[in-house]
Amino acid sequence: MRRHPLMIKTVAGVCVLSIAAAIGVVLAAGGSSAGASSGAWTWPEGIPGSPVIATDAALSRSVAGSRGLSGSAVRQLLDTGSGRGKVAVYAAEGVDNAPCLAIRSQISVGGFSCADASWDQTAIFLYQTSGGDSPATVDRSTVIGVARSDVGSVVLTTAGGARRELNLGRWHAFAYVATRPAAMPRRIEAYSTRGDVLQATDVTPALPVEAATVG
Amino acid sequence: MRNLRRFALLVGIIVALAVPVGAHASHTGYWFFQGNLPRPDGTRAVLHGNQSWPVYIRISWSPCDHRMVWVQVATGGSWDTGSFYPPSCDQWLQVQYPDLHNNYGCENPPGFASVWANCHVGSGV
Repeated sequence: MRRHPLMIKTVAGVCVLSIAAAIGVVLAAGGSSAGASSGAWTWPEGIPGSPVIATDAALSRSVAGSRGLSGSAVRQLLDTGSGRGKVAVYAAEGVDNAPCLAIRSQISVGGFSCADASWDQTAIFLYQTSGGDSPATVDRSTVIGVARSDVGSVVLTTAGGARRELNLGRWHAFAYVATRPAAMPRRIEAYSTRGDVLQATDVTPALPVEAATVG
Repeated sequence: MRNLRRFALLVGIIVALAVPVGAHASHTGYWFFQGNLPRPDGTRAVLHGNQSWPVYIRISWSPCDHRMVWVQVATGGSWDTGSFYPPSCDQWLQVQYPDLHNNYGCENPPGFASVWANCHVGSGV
């Protein structure tokens, strides 16, 4: 069967574009890589954290607005920092007993994200808040997170090149606070108990860039 | 020739589906931005201003394994950002002190590949 030359060229073009798109998806990870999962987002005591006795309005709205969390008690895993750099991570029980995590910073309170199959490829749940008093200066940056059960250690590399192992608390939550230029976070790595790299993520503080006003 | 037409039609449908719907800033409705970052003009962030308290924001983005930044900027130059990392790619949040900053928005940090983002302002959860 004789094929039309245009058709052959078109098929070849689509193949090239498909390969380019696949490469683009891989690159889109943006410096973050994660190893295969052998751990789980579970804790021996079920939902981790200390019970929060009185949730304020913002936290209550966060629970109410997160699917499947209605009536669930909120627990606090860790809080750190001070002033505008203060951040906390909370847990609550979602559908099918899934642990759900939320971040509260001084600027915003997030909705709860619940562990599902997509979390298997992630060794550490991360959030970072940064801030400055002038557009080109970072005055503070806080990294807070929770590690999967198979994570043995979490190491943060600073702008100055120092490597610091972060303390994994009782519920595998960790945090790092920086207020000096050399101490600003650059990279965070999660290692298994055998020393294998499970995840490596760029955590360079994000400054506001030139923006378009759209509304 | 008939097969060629069918093939061309198929390619056309695929291309139409691949192009994000509304890949430009929207000034209508609650979505204040739906589209790719960086935009065609190279800007990597979009801001929306003058909200009244409380402000609810929902951000979703694709691909999911991409870092997304929530940014708040004051006229005086002070700023705060919050970075969401994988596996999160659909996040809503309440802005704590809207009077602290004039503008809010979404940012794809420099050096990162293009990402398709939805930034949505709402009046409640």
